[in-house]
Amino acid sequence: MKWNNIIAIGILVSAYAVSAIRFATLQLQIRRTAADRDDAERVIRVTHWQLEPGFREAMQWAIDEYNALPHVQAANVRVEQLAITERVYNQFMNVHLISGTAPDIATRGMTRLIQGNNVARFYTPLSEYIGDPNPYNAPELLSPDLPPELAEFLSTASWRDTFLDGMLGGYDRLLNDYYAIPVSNFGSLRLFYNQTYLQDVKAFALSAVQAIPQPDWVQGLWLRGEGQQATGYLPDTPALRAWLANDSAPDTLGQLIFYCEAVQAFAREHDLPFLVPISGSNYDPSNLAFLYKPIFLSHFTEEVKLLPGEGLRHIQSLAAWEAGRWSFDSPPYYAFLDFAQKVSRYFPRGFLGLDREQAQRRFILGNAAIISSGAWDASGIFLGAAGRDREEDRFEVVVTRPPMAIEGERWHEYLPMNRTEASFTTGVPLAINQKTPHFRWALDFLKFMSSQPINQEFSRRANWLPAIAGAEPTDFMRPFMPEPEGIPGNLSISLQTAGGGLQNVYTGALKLLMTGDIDRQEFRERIERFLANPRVGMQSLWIRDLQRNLDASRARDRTVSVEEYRVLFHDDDAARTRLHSLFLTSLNNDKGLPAIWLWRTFNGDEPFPSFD
Amino acid sequence: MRIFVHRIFRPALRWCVGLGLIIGLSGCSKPPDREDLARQGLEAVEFFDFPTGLNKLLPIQADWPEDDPQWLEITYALALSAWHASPPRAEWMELAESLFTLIAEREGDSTVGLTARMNLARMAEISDFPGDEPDYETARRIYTEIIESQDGTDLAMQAGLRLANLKAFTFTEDGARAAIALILDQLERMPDTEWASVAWQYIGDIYINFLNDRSAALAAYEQAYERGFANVARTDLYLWRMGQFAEELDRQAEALHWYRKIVAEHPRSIFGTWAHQYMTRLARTLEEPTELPPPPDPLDVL
Repeated sequence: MKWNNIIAIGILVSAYAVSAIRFATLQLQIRRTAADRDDAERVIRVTHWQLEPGFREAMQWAIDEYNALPHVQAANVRVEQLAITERVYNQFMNVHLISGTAPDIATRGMTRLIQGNNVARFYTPLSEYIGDPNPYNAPELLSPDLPPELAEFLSTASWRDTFLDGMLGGYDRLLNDYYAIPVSNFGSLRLFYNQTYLQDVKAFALSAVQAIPQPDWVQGLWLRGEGQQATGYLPDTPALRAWLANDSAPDTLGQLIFYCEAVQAFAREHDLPFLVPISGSNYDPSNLAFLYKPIFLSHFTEEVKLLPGEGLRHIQSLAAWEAGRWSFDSPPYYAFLDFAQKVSRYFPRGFLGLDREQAQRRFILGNAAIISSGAWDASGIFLGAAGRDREEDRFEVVVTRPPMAIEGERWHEYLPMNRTEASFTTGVPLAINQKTPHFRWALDFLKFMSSQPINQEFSRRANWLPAIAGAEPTDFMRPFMPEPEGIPGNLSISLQTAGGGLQNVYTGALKLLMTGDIDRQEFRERIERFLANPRVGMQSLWIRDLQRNLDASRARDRTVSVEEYRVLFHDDDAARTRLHSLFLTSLNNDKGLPAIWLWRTFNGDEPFPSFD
Repeated sequence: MRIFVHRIFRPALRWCVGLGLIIGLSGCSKPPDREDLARQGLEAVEFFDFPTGLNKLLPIQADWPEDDPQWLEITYALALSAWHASPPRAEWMELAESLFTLIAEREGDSTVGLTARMNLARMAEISDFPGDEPDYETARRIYTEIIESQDGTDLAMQAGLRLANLKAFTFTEDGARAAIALILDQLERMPDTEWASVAWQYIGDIYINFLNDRSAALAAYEQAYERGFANVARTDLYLWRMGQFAEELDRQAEALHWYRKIVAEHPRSIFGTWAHQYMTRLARTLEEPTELPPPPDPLDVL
């Protein structure tokens, strides 16, 4: 036997021995703790994938506070945090949930396996625990500066009602129950501006506007003509000049376009070859076109025959397209593609090759005047901008909601209002593993995390938004709080959600259009060619939609059966109430009804597509 | 080299194999008794884990004494597991059918017995796997029997709603009208049933989805609203729909009433801004000045 073989076998044997010993130790530990012996330490493990700066430290602070509570120490309970990158979270949770070794508490989501009815197989339903007040919101524990009425509410209301969204972030619509306790709030998408550039570029732009004659780049911005023949983006008005004289961020879309052009001219003038107006990347939130797309494409409700109160599904959009009720040349679609082409010229060259971190770094390094993202990136951006090595490189960050076009500006008719953020849901939903031997303590820890004073301090330390009423965010996080004013966000034509091949073809074509690799006609032809394909096109999409509806209907039947079982054998009143709602949903969505109804709406008595 | 193999490697290998065996065997404990299996099976069904329910309950159900108080629950849970275990298989469906039939015969007109019959109808109505043709006739027959034998009960209403659904599913005007007539007849017999809200809301949905009759749909939704919509989470969507229908029917004051409800009572509604705008516009058209609520604030939990 050769030495290298022996070494290899030796390593294998050692690895086996180590894992066998580790396995035995863990088994012993699990058995001992499962038995809940009084002298055994009970360890509650909390897993999440939030690796953004500040989050883990804030979570650790909350954990330390909890571990230091007298009754927690007396019970020999200790909470531990296990942060896992989102790249492997899916695999980690799948393996451990199925093998029964998953952490006691874990962020729900990020796994395609543990969804639908499977959520109920692995996580504990929490309805019966959320109706009572949260004991950690007792009056003596609340922040002392709370208005008395709010303090009274927090200490007496049900735990569920103390959440800003009524705990909807933990609610599972399919299972009709609460399966997680959210502890934060993702907030909404916003534009981040480099304040230094706002001052310098606007001063530069004001002098350009006041010059006689105005430079070409300024003259090209003034709106002339109408509809698809229009050139320019906004009129030269006293309001625009007044805005240029201060250092505030753009209030209108016309001003935003103006500002981006000014940044490009400023970069040329000052020989700043790396400076771009917007730090776009392949990360969708950083792509301004995607931010405005749902508003541009929400003007088809008549064409798609949408019933008031309903949300628009991709198949309904496509059914109307197939029936010739709209096309990719329809004015709102044309306007959106026009906008997408325009705005992508403000991104760095090769932006599709850049990722989220690279986009953020470009902004922090002062090589972009604007970046768009959500509250989850705010901490990294703020800390990065304020933490540059050289003091002269540091800058303040201004945050605003994406501005809309006002009357007299290009695209005004398509961008009347932002999307409403009224129906926001709280985030980081922490679910309790059904196999945990320490359910009572896991629940207790989540009550602690979601109490007003702890959630407030946790959010401040993490620089995230709170999930609980009365928990105040830090000043610089306030701009991310949900803004209720706006149009419903579910009325937009969205082929990106179609799934399968269409999603890839559509997204690919749109990105190529934005990079200038294809024109509008090629964009349209690529999608139309795909939709006309009998194997993967419209016919396949109809069949897929019907199957999806049938599967959902079947899954709902399972839920109805379990609720009936709970009513019959456990006399569960809550299940009885949930049954009513489920039954109605079942009636309206039975046997693939939504797909069939939609087909008949646009195609009458024609037979439903099939591969036969 | 030889010394290494004989004195170190082989003993180490023996030691590891021995350790592995000890650990492996330590994992083997005595097989669970039937009470344990029953508990685990019932718990699995409650948590939608039907394959486990099937695995745990199938070995014990047949031998479980029928006069034992737990027999009924174990048999019912096993039937549910066989029906819903994924992927569905013909033999499991047959098992589920035989168990539900057994329960229905044994329990007669008790709630459990009738629910078992409803499940039999439902199994006939839907296709569970390729080649499993729906048997609407059997479903209709069972629903009709329950409606007739249980007149005025909640189960009769549930059977009525399922039967109405089958009628509407014909996509004919006659079918839709027959569905509505059936539910209205049921409501007349039991106006105070706790299923009335579901029934009225479903009537409204049939009017709009199958007959495009907005006036009749609005009237039905009003009845459902008075009783509280069955799907509370979608109340604001229905209120928006009602406001829109009322405006289309030129009933401005009524439309304003529904928009006002969205603004005042559903601050988290996605229709809040529109409802506030429409409400304000409609209020200007009224002769009598009316006080309007402020724009909704979803962050105000009080």
